[in-house]
Amino acid sequence: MPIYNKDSRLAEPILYDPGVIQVIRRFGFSIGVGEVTIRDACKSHGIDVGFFLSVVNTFLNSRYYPEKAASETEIPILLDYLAKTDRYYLEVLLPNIDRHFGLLASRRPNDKGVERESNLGMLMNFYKEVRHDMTSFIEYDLNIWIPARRELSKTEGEGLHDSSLIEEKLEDMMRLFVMHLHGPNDPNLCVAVLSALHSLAKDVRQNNRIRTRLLARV
Amino acid sequence: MRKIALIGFNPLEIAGLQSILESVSDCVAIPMKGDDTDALEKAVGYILTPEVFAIEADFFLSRSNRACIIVKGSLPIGKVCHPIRVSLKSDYEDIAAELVSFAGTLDSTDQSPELSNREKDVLRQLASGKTNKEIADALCISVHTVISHRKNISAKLGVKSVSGLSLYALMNGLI
Repeated sequence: MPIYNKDSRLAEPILYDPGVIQVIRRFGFSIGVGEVTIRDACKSHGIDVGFFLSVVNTFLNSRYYPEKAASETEIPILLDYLAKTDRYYLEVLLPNIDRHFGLLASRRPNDKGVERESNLGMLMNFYKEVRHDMTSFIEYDLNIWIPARRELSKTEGEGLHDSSLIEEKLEDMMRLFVMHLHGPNDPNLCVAVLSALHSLAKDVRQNNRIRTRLLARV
Repeated sequence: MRKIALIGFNPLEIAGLQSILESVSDCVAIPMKGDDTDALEKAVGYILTPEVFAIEADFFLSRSNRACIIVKGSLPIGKVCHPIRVSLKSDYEDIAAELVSFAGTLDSTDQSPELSNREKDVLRQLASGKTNKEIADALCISVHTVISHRKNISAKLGVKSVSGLSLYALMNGLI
């Protein structure tokens, strides 16, 4: 896995893993980055290039550990980033999965005459539980933990609020969907649900790394 | 049925190890000689004394990930991954938990994802909402053994959360 530096072109990490565009957008960049280097792009947007590289490299590379945790001046930027990530999950990724699951359930052919009835209902119930856990996590993050973390004197901001348990459930969800779904389900919609789940699970995992490796424990 | 070879033990030790292994796993423990390589090849794992391991090092070193050494004294400080070592100075419950964990590693070496009957029992209890302590009481095993079974179940199924394991049990007719 590559590690990017100031002289890397901003386009390179996006081409390596297009999922990182969401990270870069949260710093104010958008698609159409041209040939600009990361150093020049950060300079034109008033972003500390070292901090930007810590975030991007941590997001992309599971073996990358930043040299130091976020400084006092970088923490508010990181908290804003985490808040935007939370809103992205609530407003985009979760509704995307809801939509695809809904379509999959509505286009299920009749189970009569097939060898095994569909167990899609059980998986959807599990997804609802995971969704509920994730929504509760995000609400706590946005309304309590992040605001408290900005004011370090409040105990609610102590420690890390990480999403490892949600990661675990999302991974379980995908595994059970891939290995144990049976019955007459639309195969294209199954792929769509799986892709949507995968996007969310991957983003949660990668952003949890940013949370745990860049935010020093209080 | 999976065979585990017991090598280098006296009849009383063999009886004890067989009793523990067969009560906590689906393995059958069979005494074998350390130099009977034809018979040993048919076993999925080996429980042996340090002396046998040393004398037959040519055979067992390359199979150390499937070996468990029973030590009569205390274990030295520091973790050794392979071969697994179990001290007879430990409590019965700890010995049983270690042997369950060892039997579980043999399953993943064999790449056999199928749950043993005992693991299915634990999974059913877990899916019904019981805690480790309640499962231990219901199945008359220790909490350590329950935890070992849970680790093996998660390793075999690739599912970690309790909800996920419960859903697996529901989807596969275990509850």
